[in-house]
Amino acid sequence: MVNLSLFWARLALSLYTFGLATAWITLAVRRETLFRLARGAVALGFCFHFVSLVEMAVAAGHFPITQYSEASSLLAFLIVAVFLAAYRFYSPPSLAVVVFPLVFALTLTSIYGSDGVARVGVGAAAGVTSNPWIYWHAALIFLGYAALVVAFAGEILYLFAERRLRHRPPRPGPSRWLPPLETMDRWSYRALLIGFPLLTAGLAIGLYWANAAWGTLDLSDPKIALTLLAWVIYLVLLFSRWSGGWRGRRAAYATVACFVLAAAGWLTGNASGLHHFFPR
Amino acid sequence: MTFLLTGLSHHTAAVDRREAFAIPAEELPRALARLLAWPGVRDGLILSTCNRVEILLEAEDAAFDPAPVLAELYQRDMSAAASGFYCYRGADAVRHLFRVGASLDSQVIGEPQILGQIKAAYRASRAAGGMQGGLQPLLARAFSTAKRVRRETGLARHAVSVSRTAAGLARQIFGSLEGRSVLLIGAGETGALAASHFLREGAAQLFVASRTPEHATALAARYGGSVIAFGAWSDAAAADIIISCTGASQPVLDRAAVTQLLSRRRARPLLLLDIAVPRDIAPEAGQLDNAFLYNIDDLRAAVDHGLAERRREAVRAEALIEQEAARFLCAARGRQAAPAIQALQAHGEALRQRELERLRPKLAQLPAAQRALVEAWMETLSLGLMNKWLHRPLTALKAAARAGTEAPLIEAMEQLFAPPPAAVTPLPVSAAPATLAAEPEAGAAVETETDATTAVPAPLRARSAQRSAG
Repeated sequence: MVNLSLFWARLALSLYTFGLATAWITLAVRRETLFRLARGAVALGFCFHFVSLVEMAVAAGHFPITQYSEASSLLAFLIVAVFLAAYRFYSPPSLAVVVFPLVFALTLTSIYGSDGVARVGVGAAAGVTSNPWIYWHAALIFLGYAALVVAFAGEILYLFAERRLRHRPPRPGPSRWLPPLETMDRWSYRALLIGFPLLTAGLAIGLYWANAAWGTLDLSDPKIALTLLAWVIYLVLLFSRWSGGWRGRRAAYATVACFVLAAAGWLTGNASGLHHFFPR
Repeated sequence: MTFLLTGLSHHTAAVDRREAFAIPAEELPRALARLLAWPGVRDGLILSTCNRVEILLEAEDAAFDPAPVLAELYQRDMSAAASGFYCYRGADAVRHLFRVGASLDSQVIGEPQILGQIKAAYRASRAAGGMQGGLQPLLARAFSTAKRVRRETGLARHAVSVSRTAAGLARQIFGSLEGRSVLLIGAGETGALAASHFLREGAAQLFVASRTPEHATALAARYGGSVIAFGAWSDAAAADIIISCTGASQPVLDRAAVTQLLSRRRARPLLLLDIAVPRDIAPEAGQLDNAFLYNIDDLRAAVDHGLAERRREAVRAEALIEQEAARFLCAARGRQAAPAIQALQAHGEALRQRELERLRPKLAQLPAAQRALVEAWMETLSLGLMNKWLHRPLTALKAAARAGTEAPLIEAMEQLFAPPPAAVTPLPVSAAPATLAAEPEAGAAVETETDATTAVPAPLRARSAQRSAG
């Protein structure tokens, strides 16, 4: 990561850290006004993050996605974007409790984790930066991931709320940090609906591009295998939800599984022959 | 001035006695007028609810006896009846009011109605002119204390009735009850009560099913609901909440029926409230995904839990009350020293103005430009000197007032400074003599001050007398 971009990213990270801490405190002391502070900090961090990405792109001369640090920074940025967009309509502070740590971790690794994971590239090196489709491929998948993160956060909260409702003796008082069950369910569903076409389009572009470049698709590549598996679960989940059968716990578990697979795919990035990132 | 609170509540009097002393809203203005007309009563407030009748007043005398006022209010001999009336004075009255406002003294502690009732009593009192002095800040602090207790403790958070528990659970599932549908199985009173609670909370639609169709029809008519045939549950698949309370010995809704309902609802969550004994809904139905089943024991356990929690929170609330009452009393004591402080300041200012006036004619000899300059210097010098001179005594007086030990200081100040009567104001500028010849003699000033020693400290004297009496 270039120096100037690093500076902005660090600034963003400190604001995210502040937002994360404030969000946790909000839930501990139940002051909604405090959460506005957290959201404001994250929104400001988001702006700096954007500057950081632009600096990165200008320095690299292309869309910032070829290095691990670039990619995780971009993903964190997109997650914040989706979170802030979701918050505009309705979002309880509790969503932040799941989303902010992920954003924090991704931004942190993008700043400090880049050196350790960069390896010499072989497969994807040929013509990567000259082909614009690779950027569409990655950007769409990342957007899909960001929506999936929000859906995952909603479902995690759903599972906690569901557990609380099954507790005996019942606790009729409103939870300090859990929104109503149906709200979370609705939100996750919406996030899934938005994420699916993005993820599908991103994958389709990748498949098409891989086919055109190498004439074959390596399914033993862990990243490809895991991501495709996540996509299949995603499809089944969405279809079952749409057709009315799946809601509640089962849908929540499926969303969590989907997220875990996608996250595993993300983390195995460097073991993948095709998808490892460029060295610095 | 002292606060005094007298009355009776559910703790001290049975309902027949509370009834006998209750003051209905329409009689309140008349009662307030009588109370406020009583000699020695400065401010007054009457709180009359079904659980308590309390009269709060600010009396001029710390030893004020409320019995004659009560006799006047109720137009009867209060000597025998007064046995049930408690009477709190000063700090105790403040503390009691704060406890009542925060619903710590209520029959169901934490219930929210009492604050609204006190607010209504406050409005009535203000309209009758009973909030001119110290009661106004006292009531304001009682309201803010109640709010603080609500905000910072869980006193009002825990549901303490079956209906509220059910509504709380429904809200956790559906968010709002607005527009929700309720199916009531069985036409008994208990079930109807729970259903009507949901309707009050915003539920839009009620289905009623009973083995005796006439009962169902009657109940549906009462709450504007619609009747469905007993057993035809799928007709009520729109119902988000099912309350069952029949006398049936076998389950009315078994697992299969609930499964069917859920599939008809496209797995939207379903709240099942089984308040019948023996149970109406098969317990296995509660294990289904998206079905949330609570039986009467669950709901009662939640109520017990809520009561226990409220009692636990009440301990924290009491600590807050203690803190707020101490703060209020400290500030009130600080306010009590205000007349003495003002008198001292006015005295200093009067002396300063008089000295300035004495010097002003001498300045006439100076050229106009220099005169303005010297006058400005004199002003600055005298003001600075006076403020610095008064600073320590005033600070000490304020601190002593907050600690409640200002009486000896006030007395000492009277002797040391002898402030003039409030009537002695600085001479108006126009009346100032313009020539050197009209220089006032020193004797005149001394004379005024001598008079002042006996006349002025009226407020101070009254205060210290009251202090030593209290």
